[in-house]
Amino acid sequence: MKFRKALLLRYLLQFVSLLSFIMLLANLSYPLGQESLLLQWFSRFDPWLLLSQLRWQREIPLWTWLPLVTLASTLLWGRIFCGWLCPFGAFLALTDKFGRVVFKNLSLARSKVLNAIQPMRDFWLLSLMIIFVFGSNWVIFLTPFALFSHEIVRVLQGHLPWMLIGITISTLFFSRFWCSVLCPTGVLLSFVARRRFFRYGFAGNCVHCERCTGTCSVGSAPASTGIAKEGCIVCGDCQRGCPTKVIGWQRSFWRGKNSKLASGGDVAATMHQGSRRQFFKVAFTVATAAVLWRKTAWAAEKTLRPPGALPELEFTAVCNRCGRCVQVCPSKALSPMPITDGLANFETPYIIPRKNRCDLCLACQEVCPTGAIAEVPLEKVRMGKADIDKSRCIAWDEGKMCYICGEQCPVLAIEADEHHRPLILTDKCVGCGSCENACPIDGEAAIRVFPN
Amino acid sequence: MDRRQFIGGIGYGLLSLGLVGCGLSLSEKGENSPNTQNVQSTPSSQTASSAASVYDRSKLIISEGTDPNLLIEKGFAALGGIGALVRRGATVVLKPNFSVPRKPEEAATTNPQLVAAVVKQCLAAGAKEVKVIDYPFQSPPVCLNNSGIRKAVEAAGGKAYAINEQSFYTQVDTGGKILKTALFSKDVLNADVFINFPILKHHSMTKLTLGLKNMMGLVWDRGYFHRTDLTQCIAELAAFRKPHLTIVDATRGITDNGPTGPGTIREWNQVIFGVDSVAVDTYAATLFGIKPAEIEYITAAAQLGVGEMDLQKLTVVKV
Repeated sequence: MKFRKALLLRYLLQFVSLLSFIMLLANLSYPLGQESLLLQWFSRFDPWLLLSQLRWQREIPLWTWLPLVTLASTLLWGRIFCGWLCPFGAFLALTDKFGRVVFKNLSLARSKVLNAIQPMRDFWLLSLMIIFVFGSNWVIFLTPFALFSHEIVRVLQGHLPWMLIGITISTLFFSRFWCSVLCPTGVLLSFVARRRFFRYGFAGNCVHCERCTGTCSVGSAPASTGIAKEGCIVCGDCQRGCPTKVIGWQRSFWRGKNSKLASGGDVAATMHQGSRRQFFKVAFTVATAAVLWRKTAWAAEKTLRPPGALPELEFTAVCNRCGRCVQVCPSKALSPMPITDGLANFETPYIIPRKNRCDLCLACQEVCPTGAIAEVPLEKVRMGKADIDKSRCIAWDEGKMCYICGEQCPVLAIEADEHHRPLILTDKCVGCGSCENACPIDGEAAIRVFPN
Repeated sequence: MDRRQFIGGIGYGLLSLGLVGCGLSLSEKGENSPNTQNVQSTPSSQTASSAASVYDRSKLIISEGTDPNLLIEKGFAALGGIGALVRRGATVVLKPNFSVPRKPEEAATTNPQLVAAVVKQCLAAGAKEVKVIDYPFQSPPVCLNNSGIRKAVEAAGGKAYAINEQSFYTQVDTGGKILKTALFSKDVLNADVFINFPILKHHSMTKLTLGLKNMMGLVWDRGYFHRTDLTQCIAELAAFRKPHLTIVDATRGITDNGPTGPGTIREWNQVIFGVDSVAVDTYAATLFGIKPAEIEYITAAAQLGVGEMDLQKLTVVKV
C-alpha cells in the first residue's frame, strides 16, 4: 500500500512537471509574466547550469542552493531528480510505458541492450567533461531543460523536432536509454549517485527470476549485483514487481561490511580490466574532435546576435540553444541558425534584419537561462552599426524624399541633412536593424547593419 | 450643461443641413435606408440623428479640456450625436496611431483613453463591433502594449489589433496618378463606419503627421510611397478613401524627433472633429504652428479636391 502512495506521488510530480514545462514554454510571450521566472527557476535544478555559470561567468550565482539540492538528494537517494522531477524524464517515462505496451515482445532485447550500454556512461561523461572544459556548450544543449525546451520551441514555431522524434522512437524500442547513458545531467548525477546513502538492494533470498531486470527502464536493476546500480532513478518498479518482495531500501555503509559486494563503482570495477587502452582511444578521439571543432565550427560569417549577447565566441560557447529567446521574441526577429552555418553556431539565435527587425524589448535577456544574452540596459546595447551605401540609396542617388530609415529608427540614430538625405549617428546606433528592414528599395537594403 | 450642448448640436446640425443643401444627398440616402434605427428616445433627438447621419462637412468641432471622456462626449454632441453616425448593428473601425512602441505619456501615439472613450460611445450607440487597428512599425505585441491601446480598448469593449500581415489587405483600384493600385485594409473596406484617429505630432519627413498621413497605416506597401512620391501618394490615398469622421488627438504631442520620438512634448488640450480631412489637418497644422500650405500632402490633397484648405470657409465650433 505504501508503495502505491509513493507511486501516485511520483506520477503526480511527473505529470505536473511535464505539463507545467510545456505550458510555461507555450505561454512564453511578450510582455513577460511569471512564466519566465518560473521557467528560470525550474531550469536551475540542473547542476550543469551551475557548472556553466561557474565556467563562463566565473561567479557563484545566488541560486546555487537549488542545484545543490538536486545534488544533495542524489547523494541521499540517487537520481530521484531524473525519476521524479525532470520534465523530459517524465516525457520519456511515458513514452517508455507506451513502448512496453505496444512492443511487448521486445522486452528481452530491451533489457539486454540497456545493460550492454551501461559502461558507455563513464566514457561519455568523460568526453562531455573534456568538451565542456575546452569550451563548448553543446554539452548543456543536451541537458533536459535545454534540449526538451529547444524541441518544444521547435514544435511551437512549426519546425520538425527531429531530435525529439529520434529520441522518442528509440525510447519506444530501448526504454530510457537516453536518461540512462546519454543525458549529461543523468550521467553526472549517476556519477554522484555512486556514493548515495540509500538505495534499493536485496534483503532476503532472490529467486533470480530477472523480473527486476526486465522492468527497469534504465538498466540498473539489482539482479546481478544485489544492489541497484548507480543509474537507478528510484522509480520503484523493481520493488513493486518483485515476486518474493526481497527488494527494499538499504543504507549504504560507505566503508561498511558489504562494501565489496555493494561497491558504488561496481560497473567501473568490471570495466577496469583492459580499459586503459580504451580510455586513451576515447581521449584521443575526443581531443581530435575538439580540435576539429574549432576548424569547422565558425563556418559562418558574423551575424547580428540578440541585444546584450556576449561577444561572438563566448556567445556560441555559453548559449545552450534552449530556444526560449526565439519563442519569446515578439517581432520574430530571432531565429535559430541552421546547421549549414557551422556546428558551433547551430541553433543559436541570430537576427536577419531584412526579414525582421529587433524591437529592443529585451525580453530575450530575461528568459535566457545561461546569461549568453546578458542583461544589458538599452542604452548600452550595441548589436551592430548601420552603414549606408549611398550609390544605392534613393535619397542620395536619386534625390527622392524617402527617409523611411530615419523615420523608423527607434533610437534617433539617423538624421536628415537639408535635402532629407539620411546620415547615421554611429555613436547612437544600436544595430536593431529597423532601417535595413524598412528600406524600400528592392533586394538588399541600401542601409545595412553590420555586426560588431 | 450636456443637454444644452446637445440641443445646440442639433441646432447646428439643422442649420448646416439648410446651408449645404444638395451636398447632403448621400446622407439623405442613409437616412432612408431600412437599417435606420434611432438610439435616442426623445423626439427631438430623433430628428437630430436622422438629419445629420453624416455630419456637416464644413464644420470643425474643437473640443477643449483634459478629461478624455468629456472631450469625446462634447465633440460628438456638438457634431450632432454619435447616433447619427453609428447605427445599431454597425461595424466601426477606428484607426488611431500606435505605430511606435511609445508609452502614452511619451505623446507619440493616440491617447488610449480618448480611443477608449470613442469605443464606448460607439458601443453605446449600438455598434455591433468596434475594431481598433493600425499597421505599426514595430511588432504588434510591443506597440499594442506600450501604447496602452490594447488594454484601454479591451476594457471599453472593443477589439484592438495590428494589421501586420498581408492577409489583412486586399488589392484595390486607388485611381491615382502614381498610386494606381494598392493593397488596402479589408477591415476599413468592410466597415460601416470608419473613423480616422491620428495624433498631432512632428514628423521628420512630412513635418507633421495628421489625418491624411495617418491613412498610410492602412496600406500594405508603404515603401512604395517612399520610393515614388510620398506627399502625392498620401494625397491620392486620401482621395481614394475618405473617413466618415476624422478625430485628431491634439491633447499633446511631440514637436520634434517625430514620428518615433521621444521628443519635446507640447500640450494643446484639444480634440479636433471633422468630416473634411483636409480641413481637419489644416486646422491642426495651424494649431501646431506650421502654415498648412507648407505641409505638402495637405496642399496636394486639396488640389485633388479631397477637401477645403481655407479655414475662412469653414465653421469652427469650440466646445
